[in-house]
Amino acid sequence: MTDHSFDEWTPEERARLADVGRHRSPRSELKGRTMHALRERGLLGTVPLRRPRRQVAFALAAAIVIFAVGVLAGYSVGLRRHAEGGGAESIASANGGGLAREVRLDSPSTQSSSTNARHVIWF
Amino acid sequence: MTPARLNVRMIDAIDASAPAPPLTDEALVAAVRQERSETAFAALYDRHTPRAFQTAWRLVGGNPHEAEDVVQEAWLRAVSTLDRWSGQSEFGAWFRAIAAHVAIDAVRKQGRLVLDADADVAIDELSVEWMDMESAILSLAPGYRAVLVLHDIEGFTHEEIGERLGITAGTSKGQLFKARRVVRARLAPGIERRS
Repeated sequence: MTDHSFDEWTPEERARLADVGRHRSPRSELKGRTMHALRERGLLGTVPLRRPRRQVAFALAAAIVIFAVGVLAGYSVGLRRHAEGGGAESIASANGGGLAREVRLDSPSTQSSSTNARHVIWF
Repeated sequence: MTPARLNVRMIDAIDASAPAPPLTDEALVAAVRQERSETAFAALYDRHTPRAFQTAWRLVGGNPHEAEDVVQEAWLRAVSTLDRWSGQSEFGAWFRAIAAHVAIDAVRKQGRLVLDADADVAIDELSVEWMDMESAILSLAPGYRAVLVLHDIEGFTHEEIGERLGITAGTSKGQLFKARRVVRARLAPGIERRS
């Protein structure tokens, strides 16, 4: 493989050259470290079935956001209903119950008073 | 029975502590590729790490920690690209070439690998105290050292060195000539000194 080049080494020099670093060896921990790195990359050993931490964290964050949005939406709808209900009642009382009476006049006579009250709120 | 299954069974036989003939690199590589066998990898590691470490150690200038990092990275690259090993070349040579490549990348990243075709050997490089061969090689500038180690110790051709270092074969020859001159001067001061 080596080219026959100029300025060659003598056989003695070549032998000394080949000995450079020959007595050096890595620490024994390197083997474990390397195998650990290979396992982490899924190149060695069985692949663990557990999901990666990042996926779990993302799913948890998404669940929290969806839950919070749901709570806020429900709360705001409840508030609006409460406000509209309270407003209608106050308007009705300010008009001396006229509005309620008018609606009640349009309602079928078979309905109860509580049903009439609900109609007053929505119309 | 598929060859891969056979390999894994043979590897299991090693664990049974029965003295078995050493498995070929082909069998071990097949077991790592297909079964991700840790036992097979451990056998490959034990067989080929020492020489690859020496290659890395020479190229990075004798820093053992850096050489260990190089070897680890070389194994990561080798195992993730085992498909590229044809089986026709010797696995050890293929792996050492990867280790050499990683070592050169490491030296280059540190900005230490200067390969200038026109650069001449400075007088300071020659006028130093007597050294043994190892110290003389390790004290070379990284560019000279890379060419000398790859050519004279690892057996790469100038074309292969040029490919790895991004230089021409002619530049590689020139660098080798100068590197040898510096080493000789350090081994026997006064003989090769320039006027």
